[in-house]
Amino acid sequence: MAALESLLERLIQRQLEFVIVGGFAAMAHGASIVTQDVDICCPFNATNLKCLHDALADLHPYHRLTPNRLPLQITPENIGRLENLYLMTDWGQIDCLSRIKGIGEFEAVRTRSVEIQLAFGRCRVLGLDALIAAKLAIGETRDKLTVIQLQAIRERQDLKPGTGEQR
Amino acid sequence: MQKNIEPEPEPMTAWKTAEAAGFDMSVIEANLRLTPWERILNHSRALNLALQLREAMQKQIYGGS
Repeated sequence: MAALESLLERLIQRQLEFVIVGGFAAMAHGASIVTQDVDICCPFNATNLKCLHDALADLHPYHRLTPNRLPLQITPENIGRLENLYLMTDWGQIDCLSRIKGIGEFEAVRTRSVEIQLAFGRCRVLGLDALIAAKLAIGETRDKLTVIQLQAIRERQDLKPGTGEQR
Repeated sequence: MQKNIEPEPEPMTAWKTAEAAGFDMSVIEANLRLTPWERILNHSRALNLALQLREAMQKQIYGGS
């Protein structure tokens, strides 16, 4: 059973620095999609990666795209080499990205994010305009379909100012 | 003889574009009435139902307990 919201709770409790992106962000903005993973963008520095490792440690995280399911290990040797982490845990899939196509590195992503309130704390989600830009930059069919929904949501927000990305 | 005047077609809004693409806009409408946290909980229920259905289907096809 997936528990993606519990994964988020872990990350927030451990004070990981991150922004929710991808399909999970689209869903949080109101798109009617179901996604099996939570995508986050986060700084790939030693502190944050150690924090990520500690947050997931008891959930048996492994690199799901490796054939032999290598367990997640953060070492002084590999910190500088990591760019993205595609992980499976006991509670579901989590993809950690150091940059977002169409937006840039974490700081640019954070600048274009909005804060949302969850039951267990606050976290940041990529803003609607930035999410549309990122999905268009990827350009895959499923992303284009999500963009159609996001643009409709964006239009509704134009009618109700103050509900979208802070510019 | 009075000529019939065709009404101006309504502009194609993003909302209408999504509707024309086949999305059920009542679902999105309902989502927009929720908080992000409520959307996440709804999504979680939908995802877990989909995963259970997939597992049940796999058991039916491939067997197993």
